[in-house]
Amino acid sequence: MSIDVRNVHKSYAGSHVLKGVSLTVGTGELVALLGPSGCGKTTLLRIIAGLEKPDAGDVLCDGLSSAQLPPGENRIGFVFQHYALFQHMSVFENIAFGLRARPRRERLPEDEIRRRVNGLLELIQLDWIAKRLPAELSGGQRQRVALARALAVQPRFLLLDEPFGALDAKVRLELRHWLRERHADLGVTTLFVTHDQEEAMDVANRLVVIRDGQVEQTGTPEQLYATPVNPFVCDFLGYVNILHADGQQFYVRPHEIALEWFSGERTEPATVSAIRTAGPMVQLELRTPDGRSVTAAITHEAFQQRQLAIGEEVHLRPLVERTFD
Amino acid sequence: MSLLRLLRRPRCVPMLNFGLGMTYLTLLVLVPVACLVLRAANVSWDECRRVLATPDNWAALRLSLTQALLAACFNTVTGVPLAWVLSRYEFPGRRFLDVWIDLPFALPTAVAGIALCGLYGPHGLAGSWLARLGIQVAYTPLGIWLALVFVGLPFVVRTVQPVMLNLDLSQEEAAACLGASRWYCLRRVVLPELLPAILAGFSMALARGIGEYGSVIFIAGNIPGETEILPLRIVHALEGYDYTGATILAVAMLAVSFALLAVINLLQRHRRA
Amino acid sequence: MPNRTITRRTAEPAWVRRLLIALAFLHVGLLVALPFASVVCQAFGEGLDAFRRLLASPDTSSAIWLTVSLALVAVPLNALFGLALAWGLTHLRLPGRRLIETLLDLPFSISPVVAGLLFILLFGVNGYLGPFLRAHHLRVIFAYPGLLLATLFVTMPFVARELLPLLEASALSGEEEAARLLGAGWWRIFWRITFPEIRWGLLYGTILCGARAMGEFGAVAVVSGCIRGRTNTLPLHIEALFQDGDLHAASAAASLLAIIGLVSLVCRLASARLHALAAAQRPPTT
Repeated sequence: MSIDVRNVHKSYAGSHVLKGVSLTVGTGELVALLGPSGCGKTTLLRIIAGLEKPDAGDVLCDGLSSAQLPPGENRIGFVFQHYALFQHMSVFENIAFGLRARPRRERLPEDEIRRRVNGLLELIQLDWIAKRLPAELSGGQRQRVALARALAVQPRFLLLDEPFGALDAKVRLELRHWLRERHADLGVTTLFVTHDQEEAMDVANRLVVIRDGQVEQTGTPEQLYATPVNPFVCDFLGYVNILHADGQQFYVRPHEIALEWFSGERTEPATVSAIRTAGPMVQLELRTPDGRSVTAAITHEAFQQRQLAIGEEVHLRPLVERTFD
Repeated sequence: MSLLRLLRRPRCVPMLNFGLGMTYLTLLVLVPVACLVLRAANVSWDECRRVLATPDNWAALRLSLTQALLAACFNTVTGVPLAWVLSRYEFPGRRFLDVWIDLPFALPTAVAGIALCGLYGPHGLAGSWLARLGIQVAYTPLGIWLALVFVGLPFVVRTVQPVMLNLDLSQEEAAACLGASRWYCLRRVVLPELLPAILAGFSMALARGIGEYGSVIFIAGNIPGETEILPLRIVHALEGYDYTGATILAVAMLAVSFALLAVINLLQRHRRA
Repeated sequence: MPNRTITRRTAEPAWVRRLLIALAFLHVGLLVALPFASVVCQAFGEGLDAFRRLLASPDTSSAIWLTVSLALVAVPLNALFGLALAWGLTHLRLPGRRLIETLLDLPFSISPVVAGLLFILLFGVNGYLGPFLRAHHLRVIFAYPGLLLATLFVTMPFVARELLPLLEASALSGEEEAARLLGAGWWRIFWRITFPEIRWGLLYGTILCGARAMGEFGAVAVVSGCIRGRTNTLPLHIEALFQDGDLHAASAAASLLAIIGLVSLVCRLASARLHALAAAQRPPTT
């Protein structure tokens, strides 16, 4: 159940949305397509689903081109950004839709359909609202129904378009973990689109970062976070400061900065402009002589020892040597 | 308190406008309608039965109802695909076609009557051709149906079209991803979403059809007991200064159309529940 | 947007599409376009003779004049009061608004013949006010006032109906409240904030109202008595000519009247275009 995208191009009304994208998703993987809005990630997902045709290139599912398969054969679990639940059908009917839509001779017997839908309702822990209409559900419940509906047809792979985009922060966090657990249970090859790096790193075992219709970097969250190949990936995966020291530019995260007492090798002077002690780390806002703002994060113990005050001068030293030239 | 100060008060100006508008509406619409109701309330049941039992009146009532129902059904069956074509397909002449749909709204009814009579009448282009096939349109119930189809054409199209344009395409895509055929998707996903609008358009076309006068009388031939529609019976009653008869017929017509609309409303509410 | 494109999985097969398009053209052609064309052809069937004959008759010119004068009185009245009603209704949180809107829609939903009947029951010989009118030698039915009342009745909803959603949107947009908090009076708010939002709707509603006022047949037929040269409007004159058996002259009169319908169609197109333009110029709200 692998997906193989080969050099896909797509343009809409003159704008080149995808410029030769290639990627593979292996069997049982949970991959995130990550990129800023408008980078073409949703278009790519729709092409993989067969909803759009690529202008050039090919999408192979298990070695077969998706264009060769008739649409009905090509069963794909697709979860839409706004869920696209059928408004006039109950939760039960929504989930059963894909099973009932098959031609009569392939259709499962009615009690088998019921059994399977009830199983899915239990899986999403919503068996108590099977009779409700989508309009009567909360955002998180709708999201889970959409997922169950997609899983009902036993898809070969699951595609999710900004699955948590329309939810509030708390529900989003819950559902992320829920999705990861379900993936661990079911092992369905899954590809999801998001613009939220934190979400992508939290859920996926592999990330594909896309910008302007091109793949920038692929790898595990750890690889991408620690060794981004360019400033864009580095910046996109988390807050990053640029330190100028010894004529070089160092890209460092807030916790990768050491605050030295004295100027030395590879240091840059700065003054403390704000201190925020709420949270797991102490956040320091610093200002360099040329007016740039730098954020550093140190532990509460380190902060206690240093006794920093606003207006004090420190020297910033990058703890990692991350440069792009 | 000076007038100017009064006008500054937050609700005074809207109240003033509303009062003006309401007075106008009351004098022009509410009072006349109330008079009709008052008049009808003074009519005895026997009188009512006597007027409605007149063969010509009874025939006219039946004729108006059946033809309006048939025309509204036809307009629904053709109007939904027409709206679909206009809102979903791109083809040369789409805007042109779209404009023509509004013509029955825009054209004065007398012009519509003359136009249909000229084309489908015994000497008309289409009429003479159909006559050779043995189908007579003018001066038959078929002609009445045709006129009602003409005036009712825009109702279904124009109520359904905006709903079609606002349909969430991703629902159809979801159905396709789940393996549904196009036809199954149209039937189970799209049609239920459109149904309230279709019913609303149908009921508007029906109400218009029952009361339509101007475009029908030209082509109907107005043969008593055969092709006389109910509104024409009212006109005839008034020409004979039979106000009571006219009132009874008018109230009967209103009652029937309100009853039909109420049934449609109930159906719609039942579906939603 | 990619989300609005109809893709291969959400489109009918090509042959179905072609068939439906062909049927749509056939349907509209046979039912609407062809009759319209035929009435114009019939009017010019004898060259310009039919028009010449029609316009030479004093009955015709008086019918045209009567029709125009009815519209000239009815349209401003309905526009003014319709605007007042719609504005008041949307700027007051009143209970029973649905009821008032139903009342407003009544002229649309009842038969034009019944509309005429209403005024006969009020002002006719045996009507509620009949004896009073006779005593004071006033004529309403079979005279100009009756025609005007019937016309006012059937065209009452157009402007108000067209404006209600626009005024509602304007009242809810917050712009008016912002202007009030900045100290603007009702008058200034109306002219500077509300009116620019509704002007195309007002224009369109007025045109619809005018077209219907000049084209109304049923309601006017009942109250006019069809006295040629005195209470015959242009639509009624068509029927009179038709009854005389002069189909060509009737068609010529109908073509004159059809111009009104075409003007209102063109205005509909133009107002839709202007509306789209105005919407495009406004910055997006999200």
